[in-house]
Amino acid sequence: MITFGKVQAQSSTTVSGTIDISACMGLTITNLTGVVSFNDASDYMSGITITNAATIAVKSNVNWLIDISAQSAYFQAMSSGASTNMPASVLQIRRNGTTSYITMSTNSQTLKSGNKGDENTTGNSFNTDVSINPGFGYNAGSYNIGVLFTLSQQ
Amino acid sequence: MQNNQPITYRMRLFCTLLLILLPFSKSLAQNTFSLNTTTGLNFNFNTASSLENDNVKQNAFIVTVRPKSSNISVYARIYYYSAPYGFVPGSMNLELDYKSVNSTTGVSNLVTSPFILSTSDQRLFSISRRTTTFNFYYDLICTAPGYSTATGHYNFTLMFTMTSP
Repeated sequence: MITFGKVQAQSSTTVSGTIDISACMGLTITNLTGVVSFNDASDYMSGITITNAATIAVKSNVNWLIDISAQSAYFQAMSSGASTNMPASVLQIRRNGTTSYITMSTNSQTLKSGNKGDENTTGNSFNTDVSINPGFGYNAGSYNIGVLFTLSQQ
Repeated sequence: MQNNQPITYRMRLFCTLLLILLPFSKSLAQNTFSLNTTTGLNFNFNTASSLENDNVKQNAFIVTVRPKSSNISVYARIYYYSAPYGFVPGSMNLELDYKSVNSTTGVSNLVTSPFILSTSDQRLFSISRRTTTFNFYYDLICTAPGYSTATGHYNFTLMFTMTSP
């Protein structure tokens, strides 16, 4: 006796596509302090340190690093009589939890590197400390300087 | 008598093949099935915010079937894919999301929620035999890759299959 199995008819078609994922990064800096004031002699003697001056949050799909640099070689005098020769090196920045400050200049210096991931990834959010120590060599007044944070792929 | 034996054997073989192939050819000839794409199937993630959101190709597919000769079911799967080094399967997915159909008469097993495509066939719907032409619309979704998915170029091929019992 011959028996037959059930025959299943089938028809197929295919379509193709692509997915492209580029290196993408995002940087958020939250300034936790406002204007820094030097009000007494001890401020000039030893400078002022602002712990946790800013919070930096990185999200990146590639391993990353942040460089910092001053946008100008000297502080900008913002008030009448303020000195125009106060160098960027008066300002120092470090990652909170570390000991060595980075002395600011117009040259880029690496503040931190990290692994890919969002801001909740370990090491991708951190605080910075700021130290400002002008000494007694500059006139009283208001000063301003820009600091450039550059996030890039390792 | 001995000379007739090979002829009888051949006839039996021919009849057997005929019986096997007839239903197959009949159903293929009368059920119709086609797939049309209405958009390009290329996904680009090139900003931080794009990594955080699903990328949707709306009405990417129109699956057209006419189950004139038998009940049918339609399945979909990932037929082929290539990924850059470091890709972890599951970190980013392709999903099919049913949107609409011109008639639901005779339609069963219709999956109406978005589902992740895999390398195994997953049934989209079944339809009992009838002469209506059905057009099923589907979105294709590439889920948000986030910040952990490997960067680079991915290729994929999807296969849609209609079967009839």
